[in-house]
This record gives sequence, C-alpha cells and structure tokens, in this order.
Amino acid sequence: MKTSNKVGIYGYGAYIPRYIIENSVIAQVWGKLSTPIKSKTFPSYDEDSLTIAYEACRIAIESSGAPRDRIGAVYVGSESKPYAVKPSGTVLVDALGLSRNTLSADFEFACKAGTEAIQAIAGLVSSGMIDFGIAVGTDTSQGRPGDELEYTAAAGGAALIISRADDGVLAVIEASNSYVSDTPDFWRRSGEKYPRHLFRFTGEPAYFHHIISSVRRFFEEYGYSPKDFDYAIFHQPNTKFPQRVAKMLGFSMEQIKPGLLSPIIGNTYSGATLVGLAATLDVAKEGDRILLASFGSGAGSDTFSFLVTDLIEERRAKPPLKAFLDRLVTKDYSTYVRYRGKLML
Amino acid sequence: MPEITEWRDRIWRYRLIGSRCGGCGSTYYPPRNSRCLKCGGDLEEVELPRRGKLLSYTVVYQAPTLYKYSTPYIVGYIELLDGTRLFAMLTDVEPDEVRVGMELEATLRKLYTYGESGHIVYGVKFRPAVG
Amino acid sequence: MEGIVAVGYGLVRVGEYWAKDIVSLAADAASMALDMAKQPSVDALYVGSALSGALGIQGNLAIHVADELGFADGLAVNISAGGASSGLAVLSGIDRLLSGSAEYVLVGGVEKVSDNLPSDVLEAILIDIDRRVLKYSGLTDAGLAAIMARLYMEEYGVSKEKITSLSVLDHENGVNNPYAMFRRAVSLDMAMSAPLVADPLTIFDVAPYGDGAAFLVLTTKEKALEEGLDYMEFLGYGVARNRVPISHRSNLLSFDASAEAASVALSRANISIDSLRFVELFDNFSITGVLALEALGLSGSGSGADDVWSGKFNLDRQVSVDIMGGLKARGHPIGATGAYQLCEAFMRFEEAPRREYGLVHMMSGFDDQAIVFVVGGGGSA
Repeated sequence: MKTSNKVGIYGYGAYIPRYIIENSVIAQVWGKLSTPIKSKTFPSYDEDSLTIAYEACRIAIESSGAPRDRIGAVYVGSESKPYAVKPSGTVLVDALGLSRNTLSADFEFACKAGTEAIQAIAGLVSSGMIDFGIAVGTDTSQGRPGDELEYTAAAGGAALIISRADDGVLAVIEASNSYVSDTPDFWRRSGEKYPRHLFRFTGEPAYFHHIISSVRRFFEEYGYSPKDFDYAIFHQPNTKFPQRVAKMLGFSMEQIKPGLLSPIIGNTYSGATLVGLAATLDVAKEGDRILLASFGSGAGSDTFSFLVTDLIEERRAKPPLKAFLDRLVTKDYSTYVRYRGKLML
Repeated sequence: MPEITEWRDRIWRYRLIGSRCGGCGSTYYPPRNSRCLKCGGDLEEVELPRRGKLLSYTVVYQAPTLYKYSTPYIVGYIELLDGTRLFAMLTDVEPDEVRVGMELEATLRKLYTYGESGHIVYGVKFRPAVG
Repeated sequence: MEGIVAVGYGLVRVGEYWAKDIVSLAADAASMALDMAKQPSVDALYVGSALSGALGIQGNLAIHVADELGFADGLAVNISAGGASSGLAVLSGIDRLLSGSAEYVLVGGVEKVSDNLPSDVLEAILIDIDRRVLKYSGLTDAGLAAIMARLYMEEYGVSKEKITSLSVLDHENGVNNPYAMFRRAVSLDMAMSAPLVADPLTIFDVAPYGDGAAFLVLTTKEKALEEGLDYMEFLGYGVARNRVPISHRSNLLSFDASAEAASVALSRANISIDSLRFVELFDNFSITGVLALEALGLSGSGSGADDVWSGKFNLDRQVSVDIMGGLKARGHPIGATGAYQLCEAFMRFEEAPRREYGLVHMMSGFDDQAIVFVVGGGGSA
C-alpha cells in the first residue's frame, strides 16, 4: 500500500516501566529448567496501558514540537485496555492537552494493534482529512501464573506522530502492506483475565507464516530486498522468533540488533515493534532505510518501509529509550505478583 | 458519586494546571478561583513546569481506604522550577532511594480505583527525573 | 468580653464505646455537665462533631441529642468544622449569651470513630481537611505532619527526638487525668522505636483517634454568682484562619492563624503570656504541638522542640503545657477535642488556686482555623 500523498513520522517516543523480573526467578517458582528470554518488564502498581501510552505520546510531542491543536486522531492499539468499554484515547486527549476536535478510538488486533493504527492514520493524513495523528502501541500484557506466557508477557509502549511529508518528517513511510488469515494461535475471550494459546502452533502456522507472507509480498510489490535496509524490526515475542524470521527472510543479525529488545524487556505485545522502531530511530542516521514487520495473533502482519530524513537529529526522542533501559531495577516474584494484582481476590 | 466530583478536576489533575498572578507572578497549585494571595491581582490558568526538586517527604504506612493497596507509598512536598510548591505522590522510587533535594519530573499514573464501580482515577505523580 | 462562665462540665473517658451510639454517648457527657450546673433550663444546644455526617453515623446530630436530653424547646445547632467543631460550638454559645437571647447554653462535642474502619475514618478526615490536595496526593493528616516534621528538622537542624519529647511530656502528664485514653508514661526510646505511621512519625507522634463526648454548661457570671456556682471564666478569645489549600502557604511551618488568635485572645483578656499558668495545645501531632508553641509565642521560631526537650514546660515550671496529657495521652475525639480541653482546664481550676490563668488552643486541619480561649477560675466560695 502506498499513500497518495507522501506521509511520514513527525515525532516518536517510547516508554518502558522501571521494573523487570528475571526469567530464572519465574522458572524457580514453577520448577522450569529453560526459559525463553533473560528478563521482562512489568508495570508498577500504578501503571496501565494508558499511562504507558501517555508517557510515549508526551515524549513524542515534546521531542518533536508537534502542534497539539493540529492533532486530528489519537488511535491506541492495545490488548490490555484498562476498560473493556471506555476509550483510552479520550483520557490521552485531555491529559496531553490536545484539541478535542479529534478522532479517537482503541484498536485491538493482539500484538499488531499499534501498526494497524499507523496504517489508519497514514491514510487519514494522506487524504487530507487530518493534519497530524498519533498511533500508539501499548500493553501491560498478562500471562497466567505458571503458563509459558508468564515468562515473556511484558509492559511497554511507543507512539508515532504521523504527518504529511511536506510538514517535515524525520522518516518517510515509503510503503506498507498487510496480510491476515483466520489462525487461532492465541486469544482471550471477553471477561477472561488471561489469554490462551496453542503452544507450538503459535510458531510456524502463525508467527512465521504471516510475517514471511507479509514481507515477501511487500518485497515483490515494491521491489525491495533485505540488502536495501540498514535496519529491520520484527515482532519479538521471545529472543528466538525474530532472529529466526530475520534469517529466513535474508536479514543479518546486525540489521535487527538495535531494535531487538525482547531478551531484556520481554514481549511488549502491541508495543513490541514500535518500541523496537523507537530504539532504532534513536541510533539511525539520515538516509537509513528501516523495515518493520509486526505480528498479531489471530492472525496478521503489517510490513512498513521507513526512509530516515535529515530531521532525525533534531527530532530524536528525549529521553531516548536507553534512558529507560538504564534505570531498570530487578524485582522479586512477590513484588511482581503484588504489582500485577495477582493476589487480589 | 465521587467519580463526578473528580471528573470536574481532571484537567488540572492530569496536566499540572495552576494559577499565575498577572501582577506579581505568584503561582498556585491546585489552581485558585479567587485572587492572588500576595498582591490581590487577577489570576490566569497556566501549565506549570514539569520539573522540580523535593523539599520534604514522608512514607505513608497507615493509608486511607482508597490507597490501601499502595502502602507504603511516598508523598513529596515539591518545588517546581518556577517556585510553585505542591504535594504529590512519588512513584518509581523506593523509600530508601528518596533524598531531599532530588530532581523530579511529573508523570501521569493511576491514583486509585473505586472498588465497586471499578472507575480508575488518574493524576499527576512525580518520579526521579529520567534523562 | 465580659462575664461569660462555665458552671458545669461533663466528659467520658476517650476510648472505644462499642455498646453506645453517638447520641447516648453525647447525652452521658451532657447530663454530667447539667448535673454539676444544678440542672438549669437550657435555652440553646450547640453540638460539634467533625465526622458524624461524613461517616454516615447520624446527620443533624444536635436535634437528636436535644431530644435524648429531654429538651422540649430551644435551639439545637450542629457544627462540623473538623478539630475546631466543639471550639466553635463554645464560641456560638458564648455569642448567644452575649446577645442576651439565652440564659444557659449547653455546648460541646461528640465523635464516634470506632463504628468505622480505621482506613475509612482516615479517608473521611483527609477529605474533611482538603479533598483536592490530600485525596489526590495520597497525603494523610499524619503524612502532612510528617512532611512538616522533616522540613522542621532540615530547616532548624533539630533532631526527631526533640520533637517527640512533647509526646513523652503528654504521656507523663496524662497519668493524672482520669479521662485520658492512655494513663501511662512512656520513655523517649519507646516513642522513637515504635511503628511508623508516616515516616518519620511513629504512633507516639500521632494523637490517637477515639470515641468521646464532652460538654460544658455556660451562663453569665452574674447568674453563676446568684446561684452560688463555682465557675471557670472566659476572659478572652480569638479566632483566625490560615490559607487553604495548604500548598498555597508560603511557609508550612508558620501557624499564622494560631498566632493571630492567641494575640487577640490575650489582648481581649488583658493578660500577658507570662502570667499564664498553663497552656493546652492542640497537639494532634508532636510536630503540630511544637509549631503551636512557637505560634502562641511561648517559644521562638525553631526553638519549640528544644524548649520542650529541656523541660521548660514541665508541670513544675512557671508555664506548664498539656497539664492533662494533651491530645496524645488524652486521645483525640476530633470534633469533641476542644470541649475536652476546656473541661480539663475547668478541672484544673477546681483543684488548683483559683487566681491563675490558662490558655486553650484548638484548630481544624493544620492551623486552617484556630481558636484560642483565655480562661481563669472563680466562684462564690
């Protein structure tokens, strides 16, 4: 997909909570011997997907100087909304002091709700319906105690402000693509606290099939190949999957390195690829081209190509993601259980 | 219904909106509806600076019902960069890490949740400045 | 202010009254006061209670207390003004007498905190003080006092021990008060190492909330002499308010309202602070007691804690503070506390030489509204 008018990223910001728990600590509780990642973030008792979104949006707005009164859409992608019914975006509008003449909705598509929001906003901006829009991917995902997901389900989020390229963007969205199919790898019914999944079925027929289909189709359609990209970010539910999918598609470990955060912060679900993109933009230079491929269970994958412009230096996120990585502190299982509300009866 | 009372306060509670005196520049948080205490001048709404330093603090061990599951928690007496003084809860910091004089910045967090209705009240808290 | 006196007092020991409701608790104390005053016909009743409405115990309390006491007519007025509730009830009664609309008034306060969860009582108290500042910041009343204590320690280089020595003094004096919630002395070590309520304040820096009721019968001095009643005379009073919300004050450690109320009360009584024999502080926290001492003019700024520590206000000294145990040892039935302080002053005049003066300080919140009475003993005997 290409927009009729060129659009791009005007500003960005990412946020992760301060607390991490090591996989070895969780494994000790449940008597497991091997673990998928090293550690994962979890939200403090007073954080949720909305407060994480707020931080990411605030950093994006303040770092880029985006005009608050010209933001015409706030779309929040999340699978861990604080409310089942009551939008997060309206709180963001009032908390960030944005114009109330704005579109606002919550998007849900498992882990790709955030990239879905980018697609929608890119279209709105390109068509001229709005001047600026914010797409957020944010989650405080939950894993049932003892379940495989408990090792990786993490918290974090990122926000992208999208505008027309002629308003001055730090990266142009060159093209995008989306691929979906009915694949029941992972789900959560209404009213349930924890999601369910089909174990190894989440791999080959779900994650790998959809990302590879989406990226290959994108390459065919627009004539790209892995060597055209300086960096790539793939959805990262663990350490292994993004490395393997990169290799299968012909990308090197160097290309995915800056955006591969799951070993330390875990799977931030709707936040995952956007946080990876933010970390990559934190180090990218003018002229760099970045590929991003998300994955959402159920299932689908969005692919994007971003071309970094000369505005990158002045628009970089302040603070960068690294500032949040530098303040991480390790907590024990009992603090994790308490902060996540797992003891509430 | 406290949800309604508190909805009315949301803008200043979310965005650190205070009052500034057009005459002498004195600032107040929460915002005042009446006149300046120092010079009687007219007040206008203003978004206060998000950074400040800690003047004093306490760690609350006996909490009211709404904050029961937050204990122990830290409340700070904070002076913002423009001199405005206010009280706010601190977050992302442990009792043994708090120091008078430390640099803080505002963020938005959940304050409390009404048990029966499930309504979440968000507001400004301060954390050690990042970056 | 000429010729208003108290001719009866009544109070119950502060504590937990599981089997009593708020109305009968008030009636118990009020009946005792009426007995002492030889059962006069009361023209008006003023009842202070900070939380009876907020905690859903009994709204419009005064008419129920009046009915329980068998008062067929006369005013029955409810006053809810935090810690100043019963002080304002007393003031209203005095005004009623001064206006000539009444011959006898019954004034006082009652509080019932044991019917609710302690955390619900705390929530009601902080909303009572300032919903916008305290509720949104999670600040409790003890938390606010703790912030003041740390500021005080930083500003004046004073140790926590010196602040807490006021609580030790309270407990020492409370041993002699039959109505005190706690009648035992405590050591400074014990007070310092007790569990924290709000760091750096321990449970010994915080006056304990309790159920309580205290009432006084007021009339004119002329009437008291005519009836041959012993009395305590109100020689002067002052009322003042400080800025709210408290975050708008330029100096948290300056209790300007208490200072103003004291200066007005002393000048109306035409008595200098040096001629006082005792001072009852509204020390709902050790630190607020210290700040009140400074505001009332008994200590210089930053030296209140030092003075208490050095024994300057002990029972055997010229001006003694909290002679009946203060809020810490007597207990703090919020809206009734001011009436307790006046009852205790009256008790003191019954026992001690009558030609002495006392000052009673009360306030709501943190100096939000302060009331100071200057009182003296007297009687026909």
